[in-house]
Amino acid sequence: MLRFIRAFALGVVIALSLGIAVSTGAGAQDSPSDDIPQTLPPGDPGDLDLTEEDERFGRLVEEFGASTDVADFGDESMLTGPCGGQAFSYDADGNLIDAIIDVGDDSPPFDLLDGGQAATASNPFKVDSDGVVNYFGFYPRTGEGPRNHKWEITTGGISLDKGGDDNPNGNNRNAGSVNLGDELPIGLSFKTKIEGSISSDLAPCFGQGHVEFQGPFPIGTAPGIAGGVAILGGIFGLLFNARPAVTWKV
Amino acid sequence: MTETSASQSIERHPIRGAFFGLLLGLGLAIYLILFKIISLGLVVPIVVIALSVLAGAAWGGFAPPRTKT
Repeated sequence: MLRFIRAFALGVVIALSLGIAVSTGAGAQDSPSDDIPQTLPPGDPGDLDLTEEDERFGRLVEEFGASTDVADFGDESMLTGPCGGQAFSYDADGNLIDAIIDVGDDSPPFDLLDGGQAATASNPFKVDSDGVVNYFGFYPRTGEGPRNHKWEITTGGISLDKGGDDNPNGNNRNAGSVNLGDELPIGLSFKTKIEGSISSDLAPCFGQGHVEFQGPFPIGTAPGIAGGVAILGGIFGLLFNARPAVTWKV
Repeated sequence: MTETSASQSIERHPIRGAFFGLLLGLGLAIYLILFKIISLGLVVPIVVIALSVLAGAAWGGFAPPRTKT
């Protein structure tokens, strides 16, 4: 299970953020431009190029960045600090199923497909447990990247993954791809909330958001079978073994 | 000839009830997560399991008794 969440974290937290580790965050609006989805790479995500992804991010910010400020938003998803990025989620057939961007301001993450705040409980970032997540992230957008940074990904207060790097070259951005089909031993469906943070000689970044894994119908999976056995065992035990009984002694 | 009288008593099983409640709670928590009714995390699944344990113990202690000979 830890491996699932870890991969999910890589797919989302990394996806939403910096060049070397984690994050989330950015803008939102009520009705996104119809042109925005056409800017996204459709179909098979293919190989990622850092420069290309950087340029794509710039185009996306130009296209709708001015309208991403939300007057009133909840704290279900956020990214604070000088980091941001974008993530595109594809299903096993290579179809784009979700896209999220954080422009690096104090606004929450923005859903490029549906509009509005992204990675909330009601609008989680969707990933296919057999699909791919492509990400681009920066920290910060311009200037030297964080040196001697440490990052951590958690859920419910439990550390899923952590690391760090001295980053001697001062890299401030990164792009990559996470193949969840390869990372996860089995496909699963579930939702969870992930937090990520990074600290360094720069201002720290903190991000959080909800992610929904889309997998096969649960009852046929190993956890689904285990859960079914537990439920049936519990019910039968309660009915036929644990229930009080009247006895007579002679 | 000896006259015998039978006395009735009720056997209660709160510990067994708690155990099977735990089992039921684990299964319920798994299904609630897999069907995305609750998020994968610590607090809510633990609450579900704890409530199931308590309900199981209460069932084992206070449910209508069945007849056993």
